[in-house]
Amino acid sequence: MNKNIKVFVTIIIIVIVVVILRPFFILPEGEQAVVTRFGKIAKVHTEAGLKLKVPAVDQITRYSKKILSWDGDPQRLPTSEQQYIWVDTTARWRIVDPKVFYQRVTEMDEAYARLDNVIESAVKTVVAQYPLTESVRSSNIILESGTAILNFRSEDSGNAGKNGDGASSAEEDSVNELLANAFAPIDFGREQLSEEMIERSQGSMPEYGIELLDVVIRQIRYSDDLTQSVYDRMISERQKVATGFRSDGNGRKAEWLGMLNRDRDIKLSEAETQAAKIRAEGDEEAARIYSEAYSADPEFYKFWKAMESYRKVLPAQKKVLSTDMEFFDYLYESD
Amino acid sequence: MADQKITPEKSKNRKLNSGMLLGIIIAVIVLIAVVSSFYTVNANERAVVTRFGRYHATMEEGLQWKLPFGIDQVTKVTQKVLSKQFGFRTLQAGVSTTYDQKDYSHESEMLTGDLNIVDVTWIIEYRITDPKAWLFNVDDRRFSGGDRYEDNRDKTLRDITQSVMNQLVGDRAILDVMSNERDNIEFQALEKIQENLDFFELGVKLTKVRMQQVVPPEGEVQDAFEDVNKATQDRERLINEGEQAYYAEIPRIEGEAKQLLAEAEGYRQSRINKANAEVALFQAIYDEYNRSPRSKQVTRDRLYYEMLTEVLQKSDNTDLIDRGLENFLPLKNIGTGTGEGR
Repeated sequence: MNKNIKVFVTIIIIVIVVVILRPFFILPEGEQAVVTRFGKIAKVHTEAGLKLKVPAVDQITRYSKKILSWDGDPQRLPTSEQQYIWVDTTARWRIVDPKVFYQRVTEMDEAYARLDNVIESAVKTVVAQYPLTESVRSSNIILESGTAILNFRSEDSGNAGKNGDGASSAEEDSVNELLANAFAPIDFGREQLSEEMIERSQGSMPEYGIELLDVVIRQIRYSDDLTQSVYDRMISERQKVATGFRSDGNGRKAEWLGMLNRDRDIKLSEAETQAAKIRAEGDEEAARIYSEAYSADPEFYKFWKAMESYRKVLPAQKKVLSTDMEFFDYLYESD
Repeated sequence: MADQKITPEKSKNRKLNSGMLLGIIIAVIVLIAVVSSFYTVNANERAVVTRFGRYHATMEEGLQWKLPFGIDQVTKVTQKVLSKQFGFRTLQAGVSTTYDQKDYSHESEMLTGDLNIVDVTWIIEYRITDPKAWLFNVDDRRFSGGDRYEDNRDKTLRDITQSVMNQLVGDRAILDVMSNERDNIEFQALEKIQENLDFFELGVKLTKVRMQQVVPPEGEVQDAFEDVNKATQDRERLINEGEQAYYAEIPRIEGEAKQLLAEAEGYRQSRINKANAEVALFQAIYDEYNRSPRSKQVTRDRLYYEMLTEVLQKSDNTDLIDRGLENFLPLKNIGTGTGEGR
C-alpha cells in the first residue's frame, strides 16, 4: 500500500517538475528554432520533434521554415520611355539560416522591411531600364498573329492622320509612339526581367539568412492618364474597324447591284441578239424555200401570185368592168 | 459489540478504498486515454499525424488510433476538389447565384501584348494530393485583408496563378485573347502554374484553368467593341441585301431571255412552216400545170377563172360596160391588170 502511494507521488512529482520546468519543448513541422543561452546561440533546431533544453536558462526563438510570401504595394514606376505604369510584384522567400537570421534580422517585421527595400528598388531599377513591351510580353509570338498585325497597320495609319492634323499635343504623341511600338520585337521579356529582379535582390539575401525563391510581376496596369489614352486608342481603332466593315458591306452590296445590272443587260441583249438571229434564220429559210420552189418556173409563179393577189385585193375595190376582157369573150359568141 | 465489529471492518474498507481509489484514477486516465485515442477520418479527407510535432504518418479514411495526451496531433486535410475565382467572387451559390459587387479589377485587369487593356475573369480547380506538403511547406498564417477562409497558402496559389495568367495574356493580342487563343492560354496556364506549384512543393494538383469572361474594359471601350460586332452584322445584312436584289432580278431576266428566244424560235419555225405550206400548195398546182403543154393552158385558165369568179362573186356592185360602147371612158380599167396576169 505504502509502496503504491510512493510510486504515485513520485509520478506526480515528475509530472509537476516537467510541467513547471519544461526541460523539453516541441518543435512542430514547418518551424525551426534558435536556442539562446545567456545571449549566446547554443543550438539551432531545423528538424521537427521533441527537443531538450536547459530549463529556465535557454530561450527559444521560433521561425517558420515554410515558404513565405512577400507582397509589395503596387508601385507607380516609369519605363524607359518615361511612361508611368503600376507594377504589382510578389515574391516568395524563406529563412534558410536561422542563426544568421537571428543575428542580423531577428524580427519578422524587420525581415519584411528589408525585403521591401531590396525588392522594390530592384523592381524599380529593372522596369526603368526597359521599354514597356519588355515588361508586358514574354515572347514574340504576337508577331505571328494575323489580327495583331491588322491592328498594327490600322493604328499606324491612324497615327499618320493624327500627326497630319497637327492638333495632338507632344504628350499625346509620345503616348502614340509608345503604343505604335507595341509590335517591336522584344529581346528579353517578362520572365527575364523577373530573373533580373531576383538577381539584383539576391545579393544581399545571404547576409540576412534569407533565400529569395522568386520575384514575379503579378499585375501591370497603366497609370490613369495613360489608361485614358489607351482607351481612346482602343475606341478609335475599333471604330475604324467598324467603319471598315460597314463600308465593305456597302461596297459588296454595290458590287452585287452592279453585277445585277451587268447581268441583266448582258442576258437581255444576248437573248435579243440571239432571237434576232433566229428570226433572221426563219426568214432566210423561208426565202430559200420560196425561191427554191418558185425558181422552177418564174413565169408561172408570177401568174400564180398575181391570181392570189387579185383574189385578196379586188373584192374590196369598186369595179367597172369592160366586156373587152377575155373573161367576157363568150358573152357574145359561144365558140 | 456492533461498533467493535464494525470498526475493524471499516479500517479494512479504508485500506481497500485507498487501493481502489488509485485503481479508479488510473482506470479513468486509461479510459480517457483510450477514448481520446480514437478518431475517424472521412472518405473525403486525409489525416496527417504529427508525433511530438514531427510528421509521423498520413492516415486514410476509417477509424484510426493515435497516442493520447497531445503526443500525437491530428490535422485533417480535405480531398475535395477546391476552386478559386479570379476577378469575381460568388457570394452565394445556388439556383440564382449571387456575385460580390466589389471591384476585383486588381485581379482581372490585364495588359495585352498589343498594349491594350482587357478584363479577364477565370477560375482554377485543384486538389490537395500531398497533405504533408500542403501542411508544412508553405506558410499558412492568416493575414489581414484577404478573402474569408483564405490564408497565406491560398494567397501563394493566387499570386502564382495571377502572375502566370498575366504573363500569358501579356503575350498575345487582345483579339486573340478574346477569341481563338483562349484554349491555348488555359492549357499553357495549367502547365505553367503546375510547374510553379511543384517548384514550391505546395502538394497541389491543378485540374482545371478556365477563363470565364474575356471582355474589353466596361463603358465606351466595350461599346466600341460591341459596335464592331454590330458592324459585322450590318455588313452581312448589306451583302445579303445586294445578293437578294441580284437573285430577285436575275432569274426573272433569265426567264425573259428564254421567252425572247422561244418566241424567236416560234417565229422562225412559223415562217418556215408557212413557207413550206405555201410552197406545197404552189408545188401541187405547179406539178399539175407542168404535166404537159395542154395542162399548162388548162390550169392557167382554171386559175384565172376561179379567181375572177371569186372576185366578182364577192363584189355586189360591179359595172359592166360593153366593148362596143365607143365614147364611154372607163374610170378604172381592171382589164390592164388581167392582161398583165396573163
